[in-house]
Order: sequence, then structure tokens, then C-alpha cells
Amino acid sequence: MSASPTDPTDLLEIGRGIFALILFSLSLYAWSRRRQPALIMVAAAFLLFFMKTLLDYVLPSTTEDVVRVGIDFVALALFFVAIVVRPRRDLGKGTS
Amino acid sequence: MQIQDSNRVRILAFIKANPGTHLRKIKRELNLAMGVIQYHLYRLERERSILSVRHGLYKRFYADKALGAQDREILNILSQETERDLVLYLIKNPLASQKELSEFARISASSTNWHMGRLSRAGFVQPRREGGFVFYTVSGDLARILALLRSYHPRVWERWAERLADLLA
Repeated sequence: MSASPTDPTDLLEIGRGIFALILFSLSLYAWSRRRQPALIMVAAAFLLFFMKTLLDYVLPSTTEDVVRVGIDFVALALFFVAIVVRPRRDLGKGTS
Repeated sequence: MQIQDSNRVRILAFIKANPGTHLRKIKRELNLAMGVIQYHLYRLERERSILSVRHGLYKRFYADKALGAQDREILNILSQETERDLVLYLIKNPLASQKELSEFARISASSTNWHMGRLSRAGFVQPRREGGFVFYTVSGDLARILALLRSYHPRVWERWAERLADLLA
């Protein structure tokens, strides 16, 4: 990351971090109300995006590419599990 | 910190003594800065010591214990957008089938089943099975539910959280 705070790339990077943090708080709040396990996974994925921004911004030269790609991969995997794997529900007699 | 806490205790005591009081009245009677009152009301609401219900222009505050257990149960349900919509639909269309409810709320049959299960367990709706179909009616004090429905306005944050949860339900 360059040092200039007005660089559009930097601004977008910071925006991404802030947005990820907001989404993390929102999903955590939703989880505190509904206790759906999927929400915790989504919250963890957003937290990873925030951490990635933090790493890019605070430790730009020391963060290995493998760490960045690894974070992306784990976040995507968490989204996948949150969306696809659902808790079993009793659908038995209730359908019409 | 001590002063802040004592202000919070004063505000809570005032709300307990005056159920349904509003922000300006608290400011007038306790002679505290608006920002200070708003901060303490926010904290009190968050720790569930008080509840706020909007009546027209005023947001009115009640100590949690001033509301009956049934009202608290109703407010708890109202805070969930999908369940609130389903209850509203059922009030207007008694004996709606699960399929109708799914179509109205634009959620899957399994999600509808899950929400209706919660409402049924909370005693809000009464399921009736006929043939292979399930029909629902709202049980309880309809006038009370409608009064609380009219006065309840969820915050944007709550609405978004509910939508996110519904998306993953």
C-alpha cells in the first residue's frame, strides 16, 4: 500500500475494511437475536475480510500472499457452508 | 462514571414512576442535557431495563417490569420482521394456509413452517390441520396485538439484522 491517504486504492481499501466491520457487527447482532449457526459463520467471514484489510494496511510488506489468498478461501468456504448447510427442521406435517 | 450512573438510576426511577413518559418530559423533569438522557436511554434499553414504544410523535418509555409478560412476548415477536408480517397477514386473513403465507412473505415453505412453528409455540397462532393442509388463525387478544403493532417501529439495524437472518434461515 502506498503512503498517500488520498490514493483511490487506499480509500477503497479502507472502505472495504469499514464495510466488512459493519457487516460483521450486523451479522453478530443478528446472531445474538436469532442464534442461527449460519450467522456466526457469515460473521466470521466478514471478520476475515476486515482482518485482511488490517493486514494489508498495517503490515503491507510482511503479509505473505499465501495468507491473503488463504483468508479469501476460508471466507468463501464460510459463506458456502452458511448458505448451503442448513440445520435440520421438522418439515413433517406442516407442508401444504 | 459515578455521576453518569446516578443519572441512569434517576432516569430509570423516573420511568418506573411515570410509565409511558417521553424524552422531552424526562428532560424537563430531571433537568439533564438531551444528549445525556439519550445516551442513558440507549444503555437502559440495551440492557433491557426499559422498553420504548412509539405512539404518534412520541417515543414512550416503560420500565421492563411495567409491561406484562404477554406484552413483552408480543414485542419480542414484533421485533422479528417476517413473523410480524405473518401475524399481520393472519389478522387480515384468518385461516390462511401455509402456502398462502409462503407466497405472501416470499419465503420458502420450510422457512414458513419454521416461523409458524415459533409463533405456534409462543401461543400466537393456532394451527388447524384439514386433509393434507395446515391453516392458521391468530390466537390471543387481537386488539392488544394490533395496538402494539401500530406503535412498534423497529430500528434500521434491527430490520437489517432480521433480513440477514431470514436470508440464511
